[in-house]
Amino acid sequence: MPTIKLQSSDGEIFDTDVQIAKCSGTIKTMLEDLGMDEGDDEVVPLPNVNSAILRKVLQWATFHKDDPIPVEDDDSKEKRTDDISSWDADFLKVDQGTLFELILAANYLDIKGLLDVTCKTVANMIKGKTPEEIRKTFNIKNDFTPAEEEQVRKENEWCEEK
Amino acid sequence: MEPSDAGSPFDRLSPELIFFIFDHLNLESLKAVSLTCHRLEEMFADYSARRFVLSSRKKTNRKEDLPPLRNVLETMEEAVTLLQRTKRAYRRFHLDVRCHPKPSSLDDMQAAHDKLLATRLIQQLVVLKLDLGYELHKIAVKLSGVVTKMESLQVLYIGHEATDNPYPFSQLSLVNRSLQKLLLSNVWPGRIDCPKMGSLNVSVLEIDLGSIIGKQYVQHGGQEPYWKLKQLSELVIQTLSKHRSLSLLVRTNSTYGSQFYRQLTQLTILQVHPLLVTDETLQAIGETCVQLERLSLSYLRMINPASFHHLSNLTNLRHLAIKDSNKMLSFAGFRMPLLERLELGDATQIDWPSLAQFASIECLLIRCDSSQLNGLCDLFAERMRRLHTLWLKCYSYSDRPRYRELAAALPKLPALETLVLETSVYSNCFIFLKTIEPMLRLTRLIICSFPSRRHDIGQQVATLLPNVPNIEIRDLHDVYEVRKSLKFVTMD
Repeated sequence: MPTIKLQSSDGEIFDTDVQIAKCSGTIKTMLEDLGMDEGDDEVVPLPNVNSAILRKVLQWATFHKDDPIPVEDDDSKEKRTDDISSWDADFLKVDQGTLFELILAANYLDIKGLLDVTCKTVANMIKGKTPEEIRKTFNIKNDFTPAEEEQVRKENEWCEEK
Repeated sequence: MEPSDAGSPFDRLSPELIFFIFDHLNLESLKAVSLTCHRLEEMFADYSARRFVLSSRKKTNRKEDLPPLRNVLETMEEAVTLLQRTKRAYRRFHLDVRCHPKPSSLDDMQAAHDKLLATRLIQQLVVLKLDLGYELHKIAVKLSGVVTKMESLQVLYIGHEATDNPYPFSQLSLVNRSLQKLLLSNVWPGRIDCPKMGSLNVSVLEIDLGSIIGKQYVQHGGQEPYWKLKQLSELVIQTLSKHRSLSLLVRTNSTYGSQFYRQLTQLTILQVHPLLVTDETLQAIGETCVQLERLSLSYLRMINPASFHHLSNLTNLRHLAIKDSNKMLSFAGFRMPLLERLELGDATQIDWPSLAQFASIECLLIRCDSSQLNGLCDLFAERMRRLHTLWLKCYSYSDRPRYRELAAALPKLPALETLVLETSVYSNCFIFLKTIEPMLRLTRLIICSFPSRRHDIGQQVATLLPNVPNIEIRDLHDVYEVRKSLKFVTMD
């Protein structure tokens, strides 16, 4: 099976199945459009992803390599978050720093499925919480004055579903 | 725990990624997020504009539940302040200023409207919905001026209380270059000039709008000095009537009314309720509106039953609804290969065998009392291979043998998934239920009847049909809601 070499930001080389690497739209484009042929000994540098995260990403991509390409739905309704598979849920039992690193990596590497499931996980961490609980969960500093907070609250009252 | 210096992980995410997370949250959670810190509030402000609407919508349509004028004025005051100050780039605004009881003077209301219409944000809106209370003719002029200046406006709704004025809001002039969709309730402007407007939905009280507009074309040689409507692709006219009796229904002035339809060559959707439709109108629609995909008419009042045949020109139809007809409806010679949905409302004289070529029908609504159903049973057995939703109105006591015959034909429909029985006589339903059991594909049964003994009936039905997963017993008063949910359009 053809492989290519991916290099993380900290210099580690990952020998990777081409099919798995191509789960990433970014890598797929590099290989196809930039004429980097399979079998070449060239290394694909990924300066925005460190080795720990790249290892996780490749683990995810290996498990999901046969998934159909996710369809874009374009309606303005809330997207569901209760459809995370048990494998993904286990895979994402990581510390918050890693979860957000995975979001950034999925975005940079253009892996729609991983971006979906990581963002859903963050959304589930927000759902049902009060503003104070959200601040605590995500280490957010409250920089509102009471008057500003009241103003936002008031404005929110006017905001409604279509 | 005090926040550590490391900061929040959200600080590292770009607005696009934060918006992507927001896509997965409901409004309540998003409001909580907006109250956490300035940055996320600003994100929500940018984001909310595209998914949500700035609204003072009342949760009621019951007049008695509307707030008094004083509260409405407070709301308007608040709206003005908000519109002046907000950093949120709202594009949709729904202002509901209906109040109850009717105030003795409308001067305060007028002043509040003036202030509101003068705000900067109004001019940037994409969607503006105004639920006006009582006759506010002075607003008309001001509103006309504002609408002209709204450069991004795409959807405009103006609703108004019904009055006895036959030409409500004639001082209103709607001229706008970007408007795509106009919805009016009890308002008919003196002028409409919106070249991009493809969709018009208007409800009026007891005036025959078709004739009024048609007169414009007759008197001005096909020109449009008042209302430019030739470009419309969707037209819905709902004529509200204070009286339910058929004899008092507005009778369209045939000549003017049909001249109106003769201009509408671009229409794909036409719904006109409830007006008497004459031979001339049918001819005009059949000859002119040949692109129609959806047609819904109320009461056909033909002198010559052959006039119905004019509709056979409409070969693109996917959805045809007719509320009632005084003559036999025969579809002989019709070729509508795309027809998916047929609603024959209360029409009882139907030449069923003539429907044999409509093998594409998926949804059918019919009244099965006192009509000749023989041909229909044959159709079910042989032709309606794709029918998945069937709505049967069966109101009669004396037609039971006929119901039995029809019920026996239902299992021959191979694709039937949803069956609705609408009746005032519960026992009529049981005639049908006995035959449903072997219908393996049926997944939904809805019975619309009077609510008495609803619970008992529900249990009885569930015992009779243990294999139908969804059984709903609905009140006859909810019948339109049920029809709407199944995408039927016929109204009574």
